Amino acid sequence: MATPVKAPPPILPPLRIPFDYVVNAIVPANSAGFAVSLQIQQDADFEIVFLVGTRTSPLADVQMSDGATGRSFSNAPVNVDNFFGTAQLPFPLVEPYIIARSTSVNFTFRDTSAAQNTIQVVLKGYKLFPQQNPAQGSAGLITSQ
Amino acid sequence: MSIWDRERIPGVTGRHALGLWLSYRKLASAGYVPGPLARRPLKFKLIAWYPVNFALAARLNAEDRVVTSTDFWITQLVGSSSLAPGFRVQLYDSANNQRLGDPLNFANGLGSAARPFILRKPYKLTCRTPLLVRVQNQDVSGATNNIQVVVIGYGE
Repeated sequence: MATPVKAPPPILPPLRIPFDYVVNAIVPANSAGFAVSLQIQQDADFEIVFLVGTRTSPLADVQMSDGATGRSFSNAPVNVDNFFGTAQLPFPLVEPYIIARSTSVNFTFRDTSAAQNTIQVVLKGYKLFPQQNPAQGSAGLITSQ
Repeated sequence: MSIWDRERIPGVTGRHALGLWLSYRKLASAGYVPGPLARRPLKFKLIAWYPVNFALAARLNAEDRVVTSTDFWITQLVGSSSLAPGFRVQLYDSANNQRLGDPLNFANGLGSAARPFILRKPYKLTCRTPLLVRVQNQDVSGATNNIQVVVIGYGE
């Protein structure tokens, strides 16, 4: 008699904890490539939902890349006003993007305003904690939803 | 019922819209953003910005193209102009030989990052077929108008 196959345990959706990652850059006047790196914390993957930010002058560009994969999110620098919104009017990602924990997100800023430009970019979203292992260490699960 | 478990379309796992609740549309957001079925092809895809830049003197036209190395779903269109009169913009899908509308004042066809123009249904660009972006500067002052059109979407 065949042994009944035990169904695999259901994959629970991750626990989503709201979190903001902040990137501050004081970009010198006419800087052609001011690099800033953001370290994603080790405790959880991060799901980006909104991009918001502030800048002194709109005459600035930004290029963002995922340090885990080395892939750039744009083929050329994007004007800051076309890249992030504000808290009142955030830029929504139609499909949220997940960044693996313990990796970095790299930003390169460029200024064309001929004056120092103080830029803050905020990645608003959720930390994703696996429900079965919410206090995961360095060998925790990567979430699947 | 938990919003994370809700299944409104049979066979399609329910997913909360997360950031798709637009602060300026509130509960009407669903009428302006792609629904769960339209968003299905986007799952596990990588968001990408494809900017196209122009620096045009008074009343000049120009054309440039966006070419993607993989299939690409356009979800949002944004743009900016350094001069107030702005520009007109027209998109042309060379894969299907389709004009995607007549030339529009950019405020009628493009948003900004704060208020992007979100396509109700993502538009698919086939890999390695150009999307042409045609612009005409509407400024007559003689100053250079720095124009940027950004095609935002998801690819492999």
